[in-house]
Amino acid sequence: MELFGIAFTALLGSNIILSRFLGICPFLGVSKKTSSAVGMGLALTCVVVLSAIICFFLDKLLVALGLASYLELIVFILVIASFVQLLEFFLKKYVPSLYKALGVYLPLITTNCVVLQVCLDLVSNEYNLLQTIVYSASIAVGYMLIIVIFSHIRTRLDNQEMPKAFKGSAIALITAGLMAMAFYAFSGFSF
Amino acid sequence: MYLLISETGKLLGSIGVVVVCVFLFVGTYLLNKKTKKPEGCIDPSEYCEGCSLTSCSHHPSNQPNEEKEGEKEND
Amino acid sequence: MKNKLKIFLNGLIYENPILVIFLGMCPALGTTNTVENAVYMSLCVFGVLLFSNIIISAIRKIVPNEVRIPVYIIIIATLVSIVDMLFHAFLPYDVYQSLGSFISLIVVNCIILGRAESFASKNNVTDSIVDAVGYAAGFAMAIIIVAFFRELLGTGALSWAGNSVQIIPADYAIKEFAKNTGAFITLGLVVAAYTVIMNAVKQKKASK
Repeated sequence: MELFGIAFTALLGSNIILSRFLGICPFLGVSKKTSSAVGMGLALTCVVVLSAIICFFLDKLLVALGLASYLELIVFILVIASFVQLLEFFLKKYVPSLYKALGVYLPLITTNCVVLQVCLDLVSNEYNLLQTIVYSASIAVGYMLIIVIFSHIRTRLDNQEMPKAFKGSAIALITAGLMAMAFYAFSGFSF
Repeated sequence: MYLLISETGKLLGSIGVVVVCVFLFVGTYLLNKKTKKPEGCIDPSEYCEGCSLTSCSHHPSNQPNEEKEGEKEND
Repeated sequence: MKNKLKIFLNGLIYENPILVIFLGMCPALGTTNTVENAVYMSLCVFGVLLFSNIIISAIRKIVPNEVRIPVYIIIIATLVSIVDMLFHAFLPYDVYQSLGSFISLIVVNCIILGRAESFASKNNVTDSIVDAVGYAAGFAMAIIIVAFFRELLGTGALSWAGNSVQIIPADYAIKEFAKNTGAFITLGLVVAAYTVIMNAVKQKKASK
């Protein structure tokens, strides 16, 4: 039940895009086509879950060394960036078909704040390994859910007539605002 | 659990941890840069027009076969 | 001198990070619920951007090309850690709480790393300082405008450090503007308004 609560809050209750405002740049940039939104979402899910697990053990190591408080940020960002690069290299070299589908989005993830935020959250919330996995997976699936829905709306927006100034990101932001209003309904639940 | 108790030990330990991370990063960065992309990839650079991160492997300056795009001039 | 002004205005107006090239949008949405938060967030970005540009342009000839990016990331992460600790120590606690992790997330903010790579690594220290001030001012302008409208419409009052002035009667305030819906919508409207103004200015210049 506790795990369900963590998952629900991360997925819908306080969704990472719509109520915590993270990962907005790729949210606006990669949502122009549904296929790229799905690719981005899947790539992000892999990276978030794996780097959350890595950072979980890394934090234990830092605590054991007595260095946790001030090195966390630097170590996490470097390790996440290295991990994303390693994953990109691996896919390029050994699984080119998967690279074509998902790998091309990996470089965009390095500067995605969702990954770093998840790693910082699991330290500040003192999650155990199981909770870490559930939490990171729910955050990532929540991200993917919103970006895929949003890309569907956006392909329809392209054909609508609107004032020139709103074309592009302005109308996208307003649409996201309306989506946030709809998803606000989920924030009342507590487990 | 605290292995490094003295202040000097902590200092050296933290420097060591950061250095290890940097080597990890540089290693994977070079490894990744040397590997070419497989044929027939979609080009996501249309999404990241405004982004000026030259470390990203989709950035024009990191494409081995294409001519290098001129850097943005401030004029 | 004219060149310096050009660099400054480039960051402030023509390539405004939030309103024109859409970089670093997360704090523009997450920290604009009150003007006070927006001001402290801009201050934080200003500090990190200024010092990262200074340090990176000062060491640009020493750092070999291969380790450029990790060096930048370490410099930025260190600066962010310092600013985070300073804010924790000196800021009102509730402001620090509401800025939350947006301070740590400056590490992955595209504005800082982007300026480091595309400007500070190629230009001298003075130009880099001007560039940092311009971009930070552009960021501050955008998020303070958004925060102003959100706070005014959302609560009907403007407040600073606990003192607030009621401008619109509280009954007429639209609470949605202070919540997350309002963040997206206000930013969208500000972006659209800015586009209109910039297009008008461009047309006027072209017709001259």
